[in-house]
Amino acid sequence: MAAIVALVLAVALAACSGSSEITSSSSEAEETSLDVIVPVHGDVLEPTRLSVNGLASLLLGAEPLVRYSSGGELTPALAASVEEPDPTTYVFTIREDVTFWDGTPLSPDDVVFSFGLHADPDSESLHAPFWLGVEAIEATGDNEVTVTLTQPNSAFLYTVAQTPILSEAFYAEHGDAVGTPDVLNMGTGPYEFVSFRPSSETVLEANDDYWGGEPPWDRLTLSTINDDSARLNAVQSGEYDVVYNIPIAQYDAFAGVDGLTIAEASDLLVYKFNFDTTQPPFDDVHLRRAFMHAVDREDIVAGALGGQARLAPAVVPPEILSSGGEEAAVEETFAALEEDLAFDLDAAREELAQSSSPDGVEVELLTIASDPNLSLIAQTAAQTLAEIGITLTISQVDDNTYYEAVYFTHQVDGVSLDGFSGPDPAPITMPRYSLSSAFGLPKGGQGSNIADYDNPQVDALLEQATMLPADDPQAIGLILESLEAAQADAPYVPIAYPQVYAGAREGLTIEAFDTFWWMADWPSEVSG
Amino acid sequence: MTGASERLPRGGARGHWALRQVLARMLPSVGVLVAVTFVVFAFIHAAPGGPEQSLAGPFASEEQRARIRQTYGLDDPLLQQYGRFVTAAVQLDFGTSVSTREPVTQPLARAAAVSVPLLLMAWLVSTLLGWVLGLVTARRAGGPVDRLVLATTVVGASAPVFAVGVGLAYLFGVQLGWLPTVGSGDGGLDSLSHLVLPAVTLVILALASVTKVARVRIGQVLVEDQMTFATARGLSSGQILFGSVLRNAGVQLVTHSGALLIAMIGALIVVEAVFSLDGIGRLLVGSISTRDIPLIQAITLFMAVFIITVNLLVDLACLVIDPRMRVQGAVSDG
Repeated sequence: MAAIVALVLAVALAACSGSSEITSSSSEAEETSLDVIVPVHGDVLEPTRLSVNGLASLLLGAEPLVRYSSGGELTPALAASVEEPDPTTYVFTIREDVTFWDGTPLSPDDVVFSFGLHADPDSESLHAPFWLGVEAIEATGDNEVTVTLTQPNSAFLYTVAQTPILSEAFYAEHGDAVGTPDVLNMGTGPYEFVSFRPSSETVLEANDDYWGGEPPWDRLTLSTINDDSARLNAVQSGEYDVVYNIPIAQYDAFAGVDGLTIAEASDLLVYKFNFDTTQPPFDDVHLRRAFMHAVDREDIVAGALGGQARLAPAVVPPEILSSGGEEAAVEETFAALEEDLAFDLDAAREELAQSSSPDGVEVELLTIASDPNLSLIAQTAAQTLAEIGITLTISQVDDNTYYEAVYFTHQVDGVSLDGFSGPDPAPITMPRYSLSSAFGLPKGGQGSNIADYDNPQVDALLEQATMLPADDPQAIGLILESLEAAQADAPYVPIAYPQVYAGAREGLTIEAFDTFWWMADWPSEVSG
Repeated sequence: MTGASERLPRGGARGHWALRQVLARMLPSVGVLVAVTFVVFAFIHAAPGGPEQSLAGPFASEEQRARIRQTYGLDDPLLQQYGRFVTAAVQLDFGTSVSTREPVTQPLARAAAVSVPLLLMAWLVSTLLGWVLGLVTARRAGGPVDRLVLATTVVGASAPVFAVGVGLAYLFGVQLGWLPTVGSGDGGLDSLSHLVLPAVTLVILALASVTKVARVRIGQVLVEDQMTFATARGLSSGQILFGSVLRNAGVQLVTHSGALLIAMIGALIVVEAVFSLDGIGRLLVGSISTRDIPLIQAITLFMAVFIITVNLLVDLACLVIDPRMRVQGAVSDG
């Protein structure tokens, strides 16, 4: 009974705290506010537990040193400048006269602390894998922080752009409670955190003392609505102004909402079948190529993905590689890769006959409900694969079961299907993460090379490309060469690059939008 | 009746007897709580994956995941982990949520502040309305009102709960713009307005069952001889209704309404998803997805205590309504 009493009291307290919020909101009725649906929300308002879209609110409150802007450009934010005296050293000059919301000045120690949340050897951060190549992070002056890498990494600044700078003193004061609804977090950004409901809602208000000038909106409410029908109803009813990452299966429904303007961009995500190249039966390249030719990718794009995607000839979208001025080479290489992936049941049967499983195989394929496209892709592929004797038994499981079997232990029947998303737009990132043996489990990698693909030639090409600046034409050439070399071994069957969509109600316009909108100052891109 | 009253304890003794009835029903509940929490505990541990995967992401290193498992003691033997939970729970320490980093009572309280009012509101409305409709249809059995009410409620109950919810949200939120379609609101009247459509959805689901049970039981009472005698004695309609009809049908109606309240918890989970409410159902689904074991245990315990409490209140209400049950209890007590 004591437990009941405790809970009843807690319920009453929670109800009381709720009623205090309404006073606040009603007194600010004339504010310019933006109610936004975002695809995911974290359980805590804290960067070690938030990734990609989940950072959409945190990066507004707690700015990074450099800010991503649509098109891939990185612009100074809390860092007034960034210098690279050598390929493994980054020197950040911290902007002066910046204060946290509580008035305490931003110092290089706060930057070192914020980076250390992810880079410390015992970090439990989601971002820890991206900081593995960092050798040292030091405050090297009153307004200077120097980061030393173990080897050149052309994607490093994108990692910095995803890293919010937070108050070390605030963490010291609140410890593990930082990021919880009662404590929130402390940054320097244009919007301050007002309230936070785990997995559900974050409310921010403009920081009147923001060093960068007056923010365009007084109040932002970011909500995550998981149910498809509820999300659509919420937009149709006008309860929300903007919706980011409209699921492609719902594109037609949202396109039919009166007054809703939809912005569109290429998603940096590739749906692909993955083979375990180290274990039977898919350690046999002929079986892998038989599988590859027996998947009707065009049918998947047109049917399962509703035409809201493009055929994927490789594990990286071509536009990511086109930033170095090598468009013609990229186009030529991708055309050749696409030709090799052609749906051809006769070619599939020939490959199968040469394989160690000439009569075909029966395998289980796991999918997750949180991405319904995976199940649709699998079901479409299963139909044509069955025609050559490869039987897919599709099982839908929850995310944790999927992660355990597909990513952590690779305990599946040699084939899996995922939507692999690049964490940043650096050309090297997706090829390296999916094809370099250093990222496979057998070599102690993080497992993003889910095929455990190990080709010394590909490794060497990618290693050379990593050492070069991100948009160096020579780097692009090396990456293209690695894609061609890997294609012959077919560790993956790339299926499609989906589009990503955002909608704004009548009277509002999303001026700039791409798949990394959450890294940018995205409220400033909404006008009206 | 007179003989029965003579065998009941009197005065202070009656208070002790009532306390004994409560204790007699609560003591077995402790065993139920232990069994329920242990079974859930075992199932969660048997499920593939653990909280470290949700916390560290799909590309975490083995060392990173091992560190997280060590932090939360997840590699200890199952009984040792369960023992820790029980030892802390009896001191009202239900642990810290792995995902939200708060004492689990905090997210649980926030969620209960949404779910409990919603559930009670829907239960109260469906019960009272169902009883009224049951009375009306029982008195006009076979008539057009009876057929209309039964057909309407059965259609409502037959429709999938998510379809009813989405339909109501579309009609009253999108088309008419009267009520919000998603979210829990900011407290006070705003929160109340957010609970209207979810509550109506639950009422539609529950109403047919309550109405049908009330109609049948009240119909049985209405044809008993005592109704004829009551009318012959010149009692008013109100006296007959409250003194005879509801008193005689009360045990079945109260028992059914208790069972209904418990059954509505399942529908509540769906309704919270449809209306994007931050309630217990959504919290439970999220905690299972992230394998947040302390939070799952706390929710399980809360639900078990809630169900036990409802059953206890139903038992006590039945004792109040029907003195014969007190006699049976007194006799069985020796």
